[in-house]
Amino acid sequence: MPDKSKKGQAHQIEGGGASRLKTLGSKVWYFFNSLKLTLTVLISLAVMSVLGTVVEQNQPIASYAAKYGAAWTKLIVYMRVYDMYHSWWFLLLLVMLTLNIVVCTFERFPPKWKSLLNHKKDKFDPKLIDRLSNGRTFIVEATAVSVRQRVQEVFKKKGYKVMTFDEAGGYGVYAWKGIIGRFGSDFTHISLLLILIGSMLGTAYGYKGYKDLNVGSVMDSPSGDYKLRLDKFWIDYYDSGQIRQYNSVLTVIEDGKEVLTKQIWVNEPLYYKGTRFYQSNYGAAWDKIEQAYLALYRKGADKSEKPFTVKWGESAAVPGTRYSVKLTGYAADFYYDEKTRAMGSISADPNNPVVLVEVWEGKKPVSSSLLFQKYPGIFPAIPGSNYDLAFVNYRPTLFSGLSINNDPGTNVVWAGSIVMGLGFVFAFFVYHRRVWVFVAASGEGEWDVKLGGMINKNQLIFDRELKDIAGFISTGKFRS
Amino acid sequence: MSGKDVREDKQDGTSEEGITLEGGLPRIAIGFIIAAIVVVVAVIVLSGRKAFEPVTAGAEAVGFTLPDLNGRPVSLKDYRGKVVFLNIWATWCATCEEEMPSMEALSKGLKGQPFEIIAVSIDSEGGETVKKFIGRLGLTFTVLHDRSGKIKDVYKTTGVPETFIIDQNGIIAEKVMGPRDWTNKVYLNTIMELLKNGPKSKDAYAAKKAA
Amino acid sequence: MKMIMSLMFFTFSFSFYFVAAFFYLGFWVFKKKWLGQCATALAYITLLSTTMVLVSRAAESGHAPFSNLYESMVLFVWAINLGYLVMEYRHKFKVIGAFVMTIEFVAMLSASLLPYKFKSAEPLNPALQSKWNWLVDLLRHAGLEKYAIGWLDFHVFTTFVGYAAFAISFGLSIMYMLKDRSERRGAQGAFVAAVPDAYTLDELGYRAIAWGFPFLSVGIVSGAVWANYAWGTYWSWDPKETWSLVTWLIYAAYLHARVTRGWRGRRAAILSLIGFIAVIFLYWGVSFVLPGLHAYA
Repeated sequence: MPDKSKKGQAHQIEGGGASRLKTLGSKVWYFFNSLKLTLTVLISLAVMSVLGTVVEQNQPIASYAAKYGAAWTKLIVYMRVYDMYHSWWFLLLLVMLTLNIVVCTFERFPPKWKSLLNHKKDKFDPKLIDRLSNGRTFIVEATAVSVRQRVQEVFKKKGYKVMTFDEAGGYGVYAWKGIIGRFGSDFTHISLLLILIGSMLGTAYGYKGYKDLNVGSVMDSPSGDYKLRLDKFWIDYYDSGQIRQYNSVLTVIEDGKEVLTKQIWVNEPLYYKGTRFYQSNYGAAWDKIEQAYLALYRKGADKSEKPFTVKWGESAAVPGTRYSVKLTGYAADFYYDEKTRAMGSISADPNNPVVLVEVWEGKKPVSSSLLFQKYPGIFPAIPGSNYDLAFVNYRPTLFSGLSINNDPGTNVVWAGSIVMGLGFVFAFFVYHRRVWVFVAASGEGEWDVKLGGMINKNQLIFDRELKDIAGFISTGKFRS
Repeated sequence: MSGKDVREDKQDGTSEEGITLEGGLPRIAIGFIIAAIVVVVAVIVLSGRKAFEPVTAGAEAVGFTLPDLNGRPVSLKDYRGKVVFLNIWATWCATCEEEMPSMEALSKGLKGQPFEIIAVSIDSEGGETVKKFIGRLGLTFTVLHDRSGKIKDVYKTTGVPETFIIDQNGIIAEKVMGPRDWTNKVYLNTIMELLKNGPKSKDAYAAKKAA
Repeated sequence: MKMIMSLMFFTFSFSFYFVAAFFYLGFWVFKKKWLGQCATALAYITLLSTTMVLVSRAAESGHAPFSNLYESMVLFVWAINLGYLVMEYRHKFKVIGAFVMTIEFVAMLSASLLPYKFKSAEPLNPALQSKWNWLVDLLRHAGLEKYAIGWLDFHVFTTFVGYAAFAISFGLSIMYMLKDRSERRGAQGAFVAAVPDAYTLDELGYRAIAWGFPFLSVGIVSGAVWANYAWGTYWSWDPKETWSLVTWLIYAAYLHARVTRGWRGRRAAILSLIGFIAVIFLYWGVSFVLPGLHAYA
């Protein structure tokens, strides 16, 4: 590390402020160039993330007050613990991690790159082998040519690249492989930056929405330049009656033309112009039903008759009478709007289902009545007659629940993931190995062979490999 | 650069940590020992093969003893010779509540016949919850309480309610998953046949299920 | 009566793990070679039996056998078994088997205590049915398209291989702590002496995490890909996703600790122990203790 402080002192004669900024800058830089910082940030992120799972996120404030009391809730709100992962201090930890990665890479990558780029220019030094802890010396009895051949062959078999040096008293061989393994961590770190960038893009420019769509309805796309129509919706069942899958058929309409029609189901979205539409949910419509089951009640009878079916929009005869009924309205949760003088539904849940039926006698309309499923008989269906109708049950009309998502950052995140995968392969499974061999004559047909090596990790298998190499040079073959 | 000593060679497997091991046996001896172990384990495991058989039509109904709502122990075998309607339910199960009035109607309808409804609750809460539930619905058939829920494992149930129609010999004649309207004659065929013609063979029940 | 084969094979595996643990423990105590040979042979038999549980389960349910807590436990046990045998074959340290087989036995015991509901093959709900279309088309030629897998199965499989590697590292870290303590004291009891030296245990523990960490990462990413297909969001900070990140961060800290002066060896081993506790919580704790949507495996 260059002695920046001295430089600052030299400049102090000229301008104290500039040099103090420089020493402050180098102090900050040095702070981020630390593995201990990495450990601190990683562990802090872990602990903070755990906190976010213990305190339920994004709940109404009242629920925290109920659970933890007023004092803790104040702290929770002030420190934004209820939406922790978007709080300033969580983001600060992420920023610190990012700076840590950037600074460490800036510091460590260039020297690594330089030394590895020029590794072939290093001088061959036989004494280096003596200094290596796994260095060994052994005697080989063979011809000069054999020894030379064996050395070349063993490294070829093991996939090393080789350089030979002529030295005083003999020759040296420098073999290496797996240099890319040294860059695994750089790939991984860059991939993390990509992933963070991708997620920020998504947060800043992404769109997430949800829409309940009835069959036949058309919705606008979030960008507004095309529409989506729901043509069909249905549910598949298993034999046991459990739901197997829910499906929709959607058509994209752009400039008045039908551009694309696709069936979607859970896990199989529709993709158009950067936006994805997912089958996420379904529900029962709140303003329409497939068919209603009504029951006739004759005055004086002790119970009503068996229910008969009335399909939506169709007329059905009331069995055993002159009347026929037509379904003209339905609400899942009845309320009456005074202003528009119309009935509607205040919610989508079937809390108070009601049907509006028209009763006809032949071609003559008799009455238009509201039938409440939960309150039978509250309003007479056919006033002035000996009959009444009850709304017993119904088959609901289903609507499709679509999740809409447009995230420009997703592809960046996936790209980052692939780089991370590559980085792992290089970092954990490719080892940078270097082996030095020095062969010197030690007598008639006898050679003194020195052998030693370095590996950046996994000493255990390297020791075995050196043994194999030594064995091959000694005997001309690998030990079985 | 390791800075440590070279590791001992352990490729040949005769030394670990420099200690020479004794007591090695030839491969064939090892083979015999392993074969013997496998056979012994197989015999033990397969002798309890009932645990691997599905509990459905044609299987033997496993006996149990559980307390009724007054704490008195009641066993399944007490009802041997009668047609038993074993229903597994819970107070928190909405469809069980829907089904029970029809079970009560069935119980009353078959009064005097050698037929018994035994409803086992798997509620983990105390007997009071179950008692209140039964009282509210005015049910008169036998109700037992298995707080540990062990009957679910024994009868291999995956939900509530599940009903097992057990014949006079203790064999399951029919298994029903989910609720039914037990006043509907269509569902009562098995019970009626058993009461009229007595028990059938195991295979007959299994065949009927497959049909 | 026809047996449910997956249940039968499960009981076989359970019994064999019990016997294998005994043989490995016996080998550790008595140091007789034949005990070690039998132990290893049994470890291969358990692998075969556990493989059969998964295969029969797939046949019974008609989908990949990774869809609930019971099935994923079997996968977990299978992956540990396989990983351990690879390690034993390469490095020949059978004493480690005592720890690993005990972990296996405990895992099988936990799975066996699950209510029957988990042990019965259930049809998949819509969100869990994810298949790669190209694979469906490929398998259709053989009529096997219903066995096609997708991002969800890939996610479960890779995550559990990661968990298994961490479990093996956990066993090694425990052994490391015991060995390190007695090495520093200078005196070693007979049992601890039979265990490989601390340096080797540290290296092997690292190797296990060097496998586990990439697999966990692939698992997290593929889980995000699946979530993106099923719900349109690749990350929603729900407890399961968050805890998987917590686990990832702890093991990332471990890897960086090992290249930091003073943090190798004992402190790294402690991180490995904490990491596996996080894995256990991530796997079992999140479903039962915390509120959220990731309720199944």
